[in-house]
Amino acid sequence: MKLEVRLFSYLRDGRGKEVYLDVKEDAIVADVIKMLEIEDNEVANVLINNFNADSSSTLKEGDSVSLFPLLAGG
Amino acid sequence: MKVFNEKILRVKLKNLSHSTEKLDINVAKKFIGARGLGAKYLYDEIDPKVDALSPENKLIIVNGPATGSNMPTGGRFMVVTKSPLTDGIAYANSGGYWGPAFKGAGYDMLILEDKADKPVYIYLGDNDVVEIKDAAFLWGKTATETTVELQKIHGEKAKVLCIGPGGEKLSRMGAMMNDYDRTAGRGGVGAVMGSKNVKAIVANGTSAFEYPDAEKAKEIAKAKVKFLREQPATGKGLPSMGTAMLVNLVNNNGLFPVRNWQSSFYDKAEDISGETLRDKYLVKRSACYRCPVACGRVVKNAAGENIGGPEFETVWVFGANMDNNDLQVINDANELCNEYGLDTISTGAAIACAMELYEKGYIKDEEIAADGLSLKWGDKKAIVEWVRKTALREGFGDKLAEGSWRLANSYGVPEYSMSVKKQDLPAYDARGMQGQGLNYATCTRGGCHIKGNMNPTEVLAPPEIRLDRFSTEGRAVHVKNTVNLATIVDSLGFCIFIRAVGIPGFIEMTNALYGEEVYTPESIVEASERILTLEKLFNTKAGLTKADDTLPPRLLNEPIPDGPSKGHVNKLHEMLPEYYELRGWDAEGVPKAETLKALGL
Ligand code: SF4
Repeated sequence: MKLEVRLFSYLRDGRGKEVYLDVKEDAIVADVIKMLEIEDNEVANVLINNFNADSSSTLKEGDSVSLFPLLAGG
Repeated sequence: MKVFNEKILRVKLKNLSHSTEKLDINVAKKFIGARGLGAKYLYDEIDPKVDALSPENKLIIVNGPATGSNMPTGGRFMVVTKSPLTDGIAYANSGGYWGPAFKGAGYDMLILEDKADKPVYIYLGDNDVVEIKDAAFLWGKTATETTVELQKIHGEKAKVLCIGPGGEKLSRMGAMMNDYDRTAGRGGVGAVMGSKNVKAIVANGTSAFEYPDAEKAKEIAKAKVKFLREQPATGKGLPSMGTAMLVNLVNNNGLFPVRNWQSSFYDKAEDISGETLRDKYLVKRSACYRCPVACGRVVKNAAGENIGGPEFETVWVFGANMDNNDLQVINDANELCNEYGLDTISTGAAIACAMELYEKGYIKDEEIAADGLSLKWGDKKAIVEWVRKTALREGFGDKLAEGSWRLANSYGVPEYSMSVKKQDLPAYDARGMQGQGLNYATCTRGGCHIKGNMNPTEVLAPPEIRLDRFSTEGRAVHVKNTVNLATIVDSLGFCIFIRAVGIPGFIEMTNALYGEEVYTPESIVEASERILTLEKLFNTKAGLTKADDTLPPRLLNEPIPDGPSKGHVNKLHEMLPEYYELRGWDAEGVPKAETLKALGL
């Protein structure tokens, strides 16, 4: 199934802003993180279609996954 | 210099005299320093009911024990006074290099009293040199012009803290600027300085910090710098993107207010994000004294000159909050605020509030016709021009300079001001972050996030430790702990962005600077509660009540209309009584006698 992955902050470096992936049925967010060669502990915030999720969340066709590293400041 | 020089400089502006007095080190320890010590002196020395812009108010500038040391970010100073914006206590801190140069001149605190008959500036050099000099030639000048002029006279190493026309013209959003573009921004502290006819304070002290055990202090500082470099946020995120890196995450959680908080998801957020700021505008990074994080941005203005870049709140207020997706406009508005000496959050919020008042028909075309500027959402040219007019109190800018609450109130609709205690709220919609709402409502300096920011725990944290941002359960305890931490950091003289070192880390650094175990985790938390309660007491005596510990009606009654936080309002009433109780304040939010006694107040 096809997914859109949106990367933020320094996770974009060397990977780009958006990545389109074809993943197996029942894939979870952790699979996507692995495919993009991002260290597990580098992702602190996961949103699926802009709603809070985590690395164990199951994905479905057409989902838009946003991945953020640990941020601070403000 | 050391943790404390144990010396206070008092300047009586009416007769241009000055004197020094001893700072009791035990009082300093009891109130930690900076914010806490400033609160203690303000409380003891002024009637909380005085008009903030009258000569009876005092302006206190005070360092913490860490200021000027080798510890990471140990360079901050605090300004404490009565706020002309909130009519309660104001405390605003700043980084840069001014604080260490002030401590290097041999003082811990400067207390400005009365009002000078004509504009003056104060020069503080080595060997107890204190000069109060004529500043007529600086009046009307911007922060950069003032700094350049004074460095021509006193040398390039002299550090300048000044006001711009915003403070001179007593805008209630007037800020104090140091080292060109660092800002003690909130609460109208610049207006208080302007009301005293003080244009600038030049600090040129060069004495070195005396460590009881220099090797040990060096070792601890090194370990903390290493720790901060290894943290993803302080080692990678903040250095690379600055604080504006929060734009996309906060927006994608549906917490990024648009058009004066009418909704909270901005479909053009990417255009004004930290990522875009870095990729399209960043010239280089900048850092305050001894800071390994360097969250500061240098960007170009429309004329192609290097200027200080905007941080997260500024990006939001001149961006989404007025439906403007042009980062160059935000950079330019930010530059004007810095040059004219205005708080970016409140200035932007006042303009956004005026845009909504115009949209709703309260402000009519005739009223702004002479200004030749529109109040339409996202009008790029007008946004920057309104900042200038606000600073100079030109035309309709005169009304804007009073701040959003007084502006909206003049039309009989204060509810359009998105403020708490008349001070404007920052970039997180508290309808989708319950704890942030409690923080906003109870912050002793009025609407503010940074003095108890729940964003790290309600939004930024990884899911396994993140709090449910829609829940109020047990939230009061978290807010209390977060507020205590910020109070400690503020009073020690560190930057809140290194909060990851935690209370044990801050204590380790501080005790090393003292050379003895001055604080334990328990005693420093108790000191923070003492400070908070004293600030609350000041506000109570100033006439603020429980009715002021609230949120704008929009956040309590109008659910967020769309986006990922759709349907939520803030349920402050479920958290506030518990918060008061945890603090030892009564049901009206007044500190109880037994609490005062227990805290030694
Ligand atoms: S983190 Fe940013 S604001 Fe804080 S001291 Fe460093 S450069 Fe200054």
